[in-house]
Amino acid sequence: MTDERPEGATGTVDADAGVEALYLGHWDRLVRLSVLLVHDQGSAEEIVQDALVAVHQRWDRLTDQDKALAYLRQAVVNRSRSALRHRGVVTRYLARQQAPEHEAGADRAVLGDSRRQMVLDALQQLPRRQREVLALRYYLDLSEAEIAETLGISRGAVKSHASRGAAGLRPILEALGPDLRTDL
Amino acid sequence: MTPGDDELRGLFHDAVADVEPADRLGEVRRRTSGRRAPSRRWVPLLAGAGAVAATVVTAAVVVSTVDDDAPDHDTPVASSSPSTDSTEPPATAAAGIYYVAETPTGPRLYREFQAVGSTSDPAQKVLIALQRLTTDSGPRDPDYRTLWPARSFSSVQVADDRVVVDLGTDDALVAGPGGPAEGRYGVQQAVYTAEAALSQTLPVAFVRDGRPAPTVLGVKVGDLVDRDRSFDLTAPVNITDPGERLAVDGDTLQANGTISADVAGPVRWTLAHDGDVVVHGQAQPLDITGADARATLGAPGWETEPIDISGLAPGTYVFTATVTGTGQTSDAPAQFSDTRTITVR
Repeated sequence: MTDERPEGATGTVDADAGVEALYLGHWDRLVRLSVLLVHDQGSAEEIVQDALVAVHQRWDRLTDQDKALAYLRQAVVNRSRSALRHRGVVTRYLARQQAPEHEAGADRAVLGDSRRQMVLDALQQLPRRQREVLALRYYLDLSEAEIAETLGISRGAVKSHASRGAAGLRPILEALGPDLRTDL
Repeated sequence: MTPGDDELRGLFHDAVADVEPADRLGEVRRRTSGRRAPSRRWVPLLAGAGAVAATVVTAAVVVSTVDDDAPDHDTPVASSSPSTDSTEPPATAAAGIYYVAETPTGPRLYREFQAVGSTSDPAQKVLIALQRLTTDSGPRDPDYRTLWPARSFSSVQVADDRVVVDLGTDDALVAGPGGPAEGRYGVQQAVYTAEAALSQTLPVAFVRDGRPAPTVLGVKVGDLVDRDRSFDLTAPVNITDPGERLAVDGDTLQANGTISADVAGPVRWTLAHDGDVVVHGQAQPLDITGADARATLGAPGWETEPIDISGLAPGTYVFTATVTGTGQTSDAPAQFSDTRTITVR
């Protein structure tokens, strides 16, 4: 990420200003991150909002306020996970119903929005850790060390989740084919 | 070959390129302000798109049954919308629907999550959920039942201070076979389900032909009906995951759910095949926060560890969660449970 700290976080910023700076700098990006994880914009906005409130409550206990953004990211990932856990039954049910659709779609021309849906659906079908690692790496552009810290796992585990996750997405990339590549 | 980094970066950025987060700074400020307003009026956005904004607190929104395109809950529902309209929310959302089931101390409300058509319109959200309460829709779990006759709900308006529910048939005014005593649970089925759909505590006004309904399911009601929080209303223990008839492919199963606020003891669980318990254990308390807590109306949560099912033969299993409680009208402890039948593949 280009902006690794809330603006002006020098250790003396008060909680209101600190959280506002985090909002201004990172709201859109974190909501989109959460959409990648939970596949639903309304939930994602709730999750990031709740995470900001949690950072505010904890502000004085964040020993190093430069760490506020790292804590916020962590809160967003954790809350996305627990949102999914409660939606799990429906999500899994839908994922199963959805699976054959991907194959059917492979040789069809895929329009922009349904293509996005396919990517989000494919992400939902990856194991949770792989999805988290890929989203943090390829959407937030975090380093291996930052991902390891955010998820509380080793760098080796980050590597293996990333490579397995990438392999898991290969079919969807192939299905999207040149359509995706020319657009990029 | 594994996809290249640039390709994946493009894929991820493109996947959310059309997501335009709504501006919620005011909401964040209000929630973090020391002078927090006593009544929280957050915008219900559990499953909607960002475009909902604050319409729910400023204006009454009217919808009718005619637009109800909710898929039948027994038919497979695709999770992606075929529409090319990028502002449209996902085609399905999970809604908590409250049904009635028997316990050793009488009927209680049990919540079941169902996949429903997703909408950003709060009134439509409530109507879609309420229509799952009628006998022509009903619960997936065969242990549950509903007290609402077919075509009970014709339209919904969400106003600042109430949810106005239009009853579509006189059958909804009179008591069913269980009489008014049971009707109380029916009335609360609607109140709990409406509040869960909105993620908001709002009393319900039942209306028939433009006038306040004098009785609902045989129960005399006032102009506004609040959620009844009595100890004998909601199930002492309720399973959220797994859902009824879930097919499990993996090596583990993790279950979770809620308990009612006055259950003190642990939640014990069993997984049984043909009546024989094959695995059992005790669940841990789970802190449910944020949107989830609003969807479950603030009930305390529980969760099992991942249960290893890799050694189980494929077949049908019954997952049971049990608590022991002493009702407030009896000294004798009773066992309360909720069950889900699942298939291990």
